[in-house]
Amino acid sequence: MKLETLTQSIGEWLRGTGPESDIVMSSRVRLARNVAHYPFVGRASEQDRAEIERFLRERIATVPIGQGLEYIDVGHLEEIDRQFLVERQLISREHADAQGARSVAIDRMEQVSLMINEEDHLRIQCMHSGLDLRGAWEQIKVVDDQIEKVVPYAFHPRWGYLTACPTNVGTGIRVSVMLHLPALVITRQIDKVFRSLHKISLAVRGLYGEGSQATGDFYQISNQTTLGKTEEELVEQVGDVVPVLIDYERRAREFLVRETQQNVHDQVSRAYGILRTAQTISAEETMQLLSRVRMGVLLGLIGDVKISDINVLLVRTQPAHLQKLRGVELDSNDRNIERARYLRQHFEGDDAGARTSIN
Amino acid sequence: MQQYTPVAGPKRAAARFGCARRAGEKYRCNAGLEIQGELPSRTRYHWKGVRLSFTLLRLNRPILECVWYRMKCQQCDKPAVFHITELESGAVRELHLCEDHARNYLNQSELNQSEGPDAGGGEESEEGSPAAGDLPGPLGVGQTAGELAMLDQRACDMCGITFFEFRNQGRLGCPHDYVQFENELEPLIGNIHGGTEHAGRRPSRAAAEAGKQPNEQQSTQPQAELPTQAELPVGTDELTRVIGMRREMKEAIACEDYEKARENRDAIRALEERWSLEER
Repeated sequence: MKLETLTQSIGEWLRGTGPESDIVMSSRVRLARNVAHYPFVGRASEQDRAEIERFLRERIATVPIGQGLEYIDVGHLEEIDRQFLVERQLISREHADAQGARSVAIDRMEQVSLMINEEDHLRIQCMHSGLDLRGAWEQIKVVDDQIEKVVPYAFHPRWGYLTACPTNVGTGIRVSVMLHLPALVITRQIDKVFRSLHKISLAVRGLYGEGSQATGDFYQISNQTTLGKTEEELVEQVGDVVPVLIDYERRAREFLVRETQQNVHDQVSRAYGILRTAQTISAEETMQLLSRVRMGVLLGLIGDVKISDINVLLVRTQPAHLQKLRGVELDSNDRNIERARYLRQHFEGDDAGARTSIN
Repeated sequence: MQQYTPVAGPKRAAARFGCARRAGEKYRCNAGLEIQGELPSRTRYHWKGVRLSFTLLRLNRPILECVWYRMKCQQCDKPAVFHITELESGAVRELHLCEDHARNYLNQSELNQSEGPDAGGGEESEEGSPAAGDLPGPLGVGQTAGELAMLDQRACDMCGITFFEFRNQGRLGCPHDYVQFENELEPLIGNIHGGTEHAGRRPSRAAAEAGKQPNEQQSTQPQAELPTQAELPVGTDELTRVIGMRREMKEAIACEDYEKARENRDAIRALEERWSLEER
């Protein structure tokens, strides 16, 4: 599986086929682990990192789950390919931008990804489309158990699994759910939601995790604490809150349709119009407008677009995807023009070869 | 004297994120600097040419694209890394000092205050939080500057990171740090997580029963007799000692003490074999 073949598929988090997938984009569970006999990544020398990377790569290749993984050396990738992986949510922004030996192993379904030498030696991530935290947790448990048999994780009887940053120590687990909440944003209830989430020690972040902005009305809800509770309790803690948020969002959408039909319809139609006819458009604006249109489709205000199409566009209009799709590197201005052209072609639908097939 | 050179910037940066800077809020920028109180949003700052973003801590999302420009020490020309807010009666004084001058300043004020009765309120405060005696860093424990300075010098036996380095970068150096600095980390970890005992999964090592407490506090000679493979403890601090041994080995080679280097290498091999790191 080379990176080029990945461009043909849409990736897991935008597949749009899991439970509650009109609001929940993806559910993700991440485990942070370190090997016991090397310093943490931040303190490790260049040689240490190369040795850690080789050690982990060789050991992972010996376990059943490891044999089904595609291995990518991020350290030697071109920048555009690294950006591509970030957009797919297969590696984090830090992993792409860091220096030194680092790599990632990905499974064919793009559900499991193992990052080597990010902030910790090993970060196991499992992502499922829609609301499926339990499924993601069961899958990642299997991966963790298999790798633990061949890799000595740094562990302390009191502190649990040891991590570079004390905010991850203990279970090392980060449970997160990505939600699309346009109605709550429009009705200005989103801040209230954040405050109440913060009270029950859940963190809210933007599309690409820590330090990112909430573009396109996508929000990631995740646990903040990792020590003192079991992994199941933390999974439940996040999982219990999601139906409540879904309920809020649905009621806000109903409210919008009932009370301000004209206004919402106008906003959605304008967004649709711009997407269909703009000559140059930025990625950020595209995401905002697609978010509106997505809500419009779900509210039944736009009839001739499918949700799966929107999901395709959400991923393919991102910078690296766009460039890989067109097979050419573009600078920012050209990208904006190309993006607008891609959108126009997609919505017109009758240009030969304009619509690339969706797997 | 102006410590920083503001570059006029757009107010819309604050409006764009829908949340203007507020007094009493805590912000952290991605270089690790924490600020409490009003973030000047009409000005833009640069810090070593790096564009920083400020995150409103309670919401955990960036709210301001703001950069900090050339914060210089008030007493010399080096960059300022300590930002101290003195709450004196009626007045608030802000100090921006480099490391050395900050240390001097804090030691000085500590000397001044040690004369009167130590009612606990005598420590200088930072970032507007009164009577906590916190220097920049997440400790949250009332400590005098002198105590903190001594603590900062302590280093991990294995990887060599000092506590000062940890406080500045927020990341630890190696797994052994959790043993070396256990007492100091306890309040910090308690603050972050609300609990200090791991309750979740454990590695299923050979013959390790659940709840068995291994002797991870041992600091005896690394050449002590090692038990057999079947008795691997759940905690891996024994294996983490390899980090220190490797460091000693390098130093021994640099000093041309090949005898010691060989001993270290053999000890490392023995440990690695016991934990089955060698190819089976």
